[in-house]
Amino acid sequence: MKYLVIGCSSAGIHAMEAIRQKDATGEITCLTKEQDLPYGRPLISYWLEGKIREEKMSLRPQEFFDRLGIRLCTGVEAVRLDLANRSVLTATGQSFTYDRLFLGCGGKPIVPPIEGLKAVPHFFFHTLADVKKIKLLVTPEDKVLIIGGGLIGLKAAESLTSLNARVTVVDLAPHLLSSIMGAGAAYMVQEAICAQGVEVKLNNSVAAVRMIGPRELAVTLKDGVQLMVNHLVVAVGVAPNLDLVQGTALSHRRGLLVDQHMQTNISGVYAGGDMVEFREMLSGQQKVVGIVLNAAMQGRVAGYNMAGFPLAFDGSMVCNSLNLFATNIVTMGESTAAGENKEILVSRPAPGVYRELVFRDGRLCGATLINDAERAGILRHLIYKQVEVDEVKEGLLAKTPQLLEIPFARWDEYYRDLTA
Amino acid sequence: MKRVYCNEKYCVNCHLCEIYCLAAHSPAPDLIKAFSPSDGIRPVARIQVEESRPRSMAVSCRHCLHPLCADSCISGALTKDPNTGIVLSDPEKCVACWSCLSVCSIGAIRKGFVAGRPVSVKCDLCQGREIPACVEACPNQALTYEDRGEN
Repeated sequence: MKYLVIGCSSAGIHAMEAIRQKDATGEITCLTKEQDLPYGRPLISYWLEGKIREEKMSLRPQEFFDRLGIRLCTGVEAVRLDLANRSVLTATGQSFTYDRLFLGCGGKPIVPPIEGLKAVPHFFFHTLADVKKIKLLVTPEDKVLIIGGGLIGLKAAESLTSLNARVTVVDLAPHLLSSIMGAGAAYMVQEAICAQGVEVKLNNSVAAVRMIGPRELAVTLKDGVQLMVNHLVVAVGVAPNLDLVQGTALSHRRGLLVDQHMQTNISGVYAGGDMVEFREMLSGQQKVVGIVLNAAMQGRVAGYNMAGFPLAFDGSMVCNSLNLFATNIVTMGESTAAGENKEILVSRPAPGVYRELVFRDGRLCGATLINDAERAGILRHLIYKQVEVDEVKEGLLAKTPQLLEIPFARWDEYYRDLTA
Repeated sequence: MKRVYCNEKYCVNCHLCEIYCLAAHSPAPDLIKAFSPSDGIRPVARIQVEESRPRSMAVSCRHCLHPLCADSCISGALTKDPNTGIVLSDPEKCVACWSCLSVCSIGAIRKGFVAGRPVSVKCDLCQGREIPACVEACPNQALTYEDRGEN
């Protein structure tokens, strides 16, 4: 059996690991356009801040690929998919054939329709190459405008501030991080960010941009205000990377469509991670949930099925944890509180700590936790399994989550689930 | 694989498992030195006793078959050893994003310090010891170290 894996990030790595667990002899080849061993994408902000060296960024060491007998082809970009002949063509004209194909092509930054953007230099904040470019070109006291106040935009703001750049963040929404949290929690985050000198402009966006000199850009905001900046960072979100899929018979909407075995509409072709959409557990709707955990789980499910061992993916759910300016932020489930029939309870168990829990029908369906990550995974489990928690609501709000206080069926049974 | 199991009925809420875990994971594996280390940063126990009177129970890593902590790890610090099944956190690689804390469904991972840096810490089944320190210290044999035939 010949397995071909395109992309070597979380989804691809877990797919290959699963394939090898079930098929000791199959030939596994992985193509990645990255030049080196796969690295954790979210680590790029740590690299820019000088908190991590490049050689420490690899998700798996070379030894991992050697042990699993994976032929890892770095710097090789897949450019065309020939489903009829079961082959993939690379940018340099090489052809790789397969019996089973896994697509883990990830996402790519969305380019907003801003007048003049294409004609001026701008950064993304997506790959190690992006932050290397930033490190090279941004000098202290430079003015940087970041378009987008989401996770990526704010991580960019944090690391650029550490380079002593003067950072402004502009976002369309009435509050920061609007895709993952409500206004109350976002206000706390905003306070922490502004205390570090970052300027935040909300309910606003960039209408036009033009170059007025070397390293000088004139930016016109929607509200008419003009800004002079040295650099632009575009961080308005990530969309599934369907470059390889376009023009083929593979079905897609926003993301590539897969069944519960992570197989596409074409037999033998599987996919996972940021490029696919799947049923989201809580809403029941098809969504692209671009988080590392989701990619890993989907990759594993795909890998088992590719090797002939049926396993179903039961659904995705958002869960994020990140640090911004020494503030830890965890969000999970339907944490933006939008939607009907929800009860939102907020507590501040200690100074600087914020806990917002969203309930629906006696069950937890979302949480936003600021500086409150301790044992937070217990809450995630309650959301994921939609456990009835009406009786223990007050305890969940007031105290660090404890297993003993949660009405699970039986602990020993649940423990067994984790290892079965 | 062999795991640490807690029989809630026999747990007497003494917290000795925490104390001996902490000592076993100190640079100086000595109780007194562990509680007053020279760098002033007391290591945290990788097992935690939960209390909901009159019940109590010690919780530590299950070394899950498919660990969510490792799945969510952004840096590759958390991995499940393919040979032993032990889920380990590499302090050299951990960037303290706390993704693992946000997904561990039993809350078995804690914020700790290694070499003065904040990192996630968790049960490693006391590598190098025949019986994990928590199990050895349990006066009522609520904690056992056994292979129940689970993966």
